[in-house]
Amino acid sequence: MEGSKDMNASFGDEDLAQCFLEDLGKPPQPDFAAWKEKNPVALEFLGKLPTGSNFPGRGLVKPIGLVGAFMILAVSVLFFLWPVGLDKSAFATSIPGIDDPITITWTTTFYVKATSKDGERSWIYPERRLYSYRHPGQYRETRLDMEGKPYAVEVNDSRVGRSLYIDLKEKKALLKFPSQTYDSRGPFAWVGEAIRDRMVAKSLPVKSVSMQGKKEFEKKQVNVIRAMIDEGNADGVQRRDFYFDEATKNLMGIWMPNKSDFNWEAATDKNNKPEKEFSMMIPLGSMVHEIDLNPKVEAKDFALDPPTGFKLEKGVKPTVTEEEMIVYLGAAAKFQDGIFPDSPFAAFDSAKFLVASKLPEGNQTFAQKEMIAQHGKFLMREIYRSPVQQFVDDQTVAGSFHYVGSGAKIDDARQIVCWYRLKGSSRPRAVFADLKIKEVDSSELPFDLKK
Amino acid sequence: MLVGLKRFPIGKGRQKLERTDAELVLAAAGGDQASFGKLYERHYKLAVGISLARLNDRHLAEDAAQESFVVACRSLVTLRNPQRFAEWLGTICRRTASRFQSRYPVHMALVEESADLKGPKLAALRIELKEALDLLDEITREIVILRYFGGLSYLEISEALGITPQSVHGRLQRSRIKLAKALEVQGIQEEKKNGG
Repeated sequence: MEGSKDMNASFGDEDLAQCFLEDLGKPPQPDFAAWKEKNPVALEFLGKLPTGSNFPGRGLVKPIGLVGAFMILAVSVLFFLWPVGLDKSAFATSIPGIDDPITITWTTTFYVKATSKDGERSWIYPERRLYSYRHPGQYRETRLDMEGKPYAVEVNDSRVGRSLYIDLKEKKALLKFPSQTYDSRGPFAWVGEAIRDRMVAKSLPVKSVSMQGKKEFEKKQVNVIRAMIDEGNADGVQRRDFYFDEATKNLMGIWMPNKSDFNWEAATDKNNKPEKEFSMMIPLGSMVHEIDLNPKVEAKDFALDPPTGFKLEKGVKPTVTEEEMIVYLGAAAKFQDGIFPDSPFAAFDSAKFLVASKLPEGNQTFAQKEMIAQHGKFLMREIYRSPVQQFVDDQTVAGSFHYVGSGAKIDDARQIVCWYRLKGSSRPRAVFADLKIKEVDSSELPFDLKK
Repeated sequence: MLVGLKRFPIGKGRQKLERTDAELVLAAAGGDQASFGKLYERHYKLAVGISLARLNDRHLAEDAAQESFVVACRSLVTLRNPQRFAEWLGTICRRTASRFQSRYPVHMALVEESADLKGPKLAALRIELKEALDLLDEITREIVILRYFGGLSYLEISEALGITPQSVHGRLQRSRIKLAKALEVQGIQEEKKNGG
């Protein structure tokens, strides 16, 4: 360990610069004259306002100089006539339904394509769910069966991180962790992020935002704004259409097809007769509609108490065992070429993980498969944080967990990766880089904590 | 072996500049080609560095950087915030490099002999350096390349990437440790001691 620290400290700017110099040669030198000669046409665009052929497709034209006023007028006309890129400032003001909502109710209809058991026929059925939101961060979801009767309700309180699932048929209620993250700012705050910040949840870049035109929706004239959002998964860039009331500017609906070209209105099998049995179901998309702003909602509908006469069951809190934590850390080390991560709480490079998870299974290495399996395992258990952190919080004495594994090579039986005291135990337990665990005395640890 | 390399100053870059990026952008957008030339010269290393972080080939990265300036030139008048030219150019470079990536298959660059370092040895170093850089996340890889290949200051890097100089410093510090391990520095240091 110490040796490694010394080594690192002495590897500085100059050494790295030397490596680059030896590998890549001297830094590149700009030669504008050569570039100009190679690209004579490019410079002709300077001083000209963008046209269809050179407009990058994002952002309204920012007028420069004396022609500004004229261009604002011209672009405004274009804005209403053709689909064009939208400037972030187009949504600078507060949008009802998106910003600081107090109460909202809405319906989401999920369109699912089912295939018959013999694979010969298919049909699309719409599944409706009713939602309500109450500031701050309380959600209620009512699920309806095919006849439109409610069969289950789920109440989520994002502030306390708890969810109450109410089975209306069995008359049972289950208090558990939410199965997904709920936005405490409101259900459609992400729409504001998409059209203003061009980044959703600080991680999903928005490739473009454009005005698609007008249409009639729920007996009102709406402006259709389309955002193409990079979901960062195998689905790639996803289309999201937002419908804004032309008169009030209220958010009226959101169309979220799973495939960008899916068009519910033109779907050929939407009128096919549903059958009782099916072999496959594919979600095609969902529509948020029937949005009602500031309706009267009852506080009791958002309580985490079961309705009278319902039996309450408490869900078992998901946790991570010591063995599972060690397997997880080992998988992370193998995933990173046999080296333990710098931090056990961000145990793998998510960009590398994303690349690996997009590979066909046959092309994945054993280490990649193991890491993906470990990650999926804890997600399935509804643990949405570092499994190591979950283990530390649940199983160890507060403040007793110490990680010294950064850079350790897997299978090194002499190298301690971390140590901690389990609750109810006085002796520290150390995990070694060969993934073995043993109880140790304080003197065997890399450093004395008291000092 | 390290003779001639100076320490990198933190954030001196802008102090020497006569006109700010914003002034040059406005002038260039108004049709002044010389101002665009200044922007080209000022940010060329940045453009190559960002492209190189994706392309693993210096020559391809230079091509991508030059094409990025063509795109920048064509769309300069749409730049809403002229002070953030460097950040904007960086985004163009990433897109252009991605396009190049899909256009050209992944390959190892050809080894050219240099006066100091002969073919096989250079090839080994190149593979080591590439593998070491692959361990870093994309932003950190960009920072490392901009710093050690482009020679940009912390301030210049922070402006180009839209992060703070402190963050640049922190990421570099962490990446040095990672790279040191990956490059098996001990061997390199021994070589230095032996005058190799």
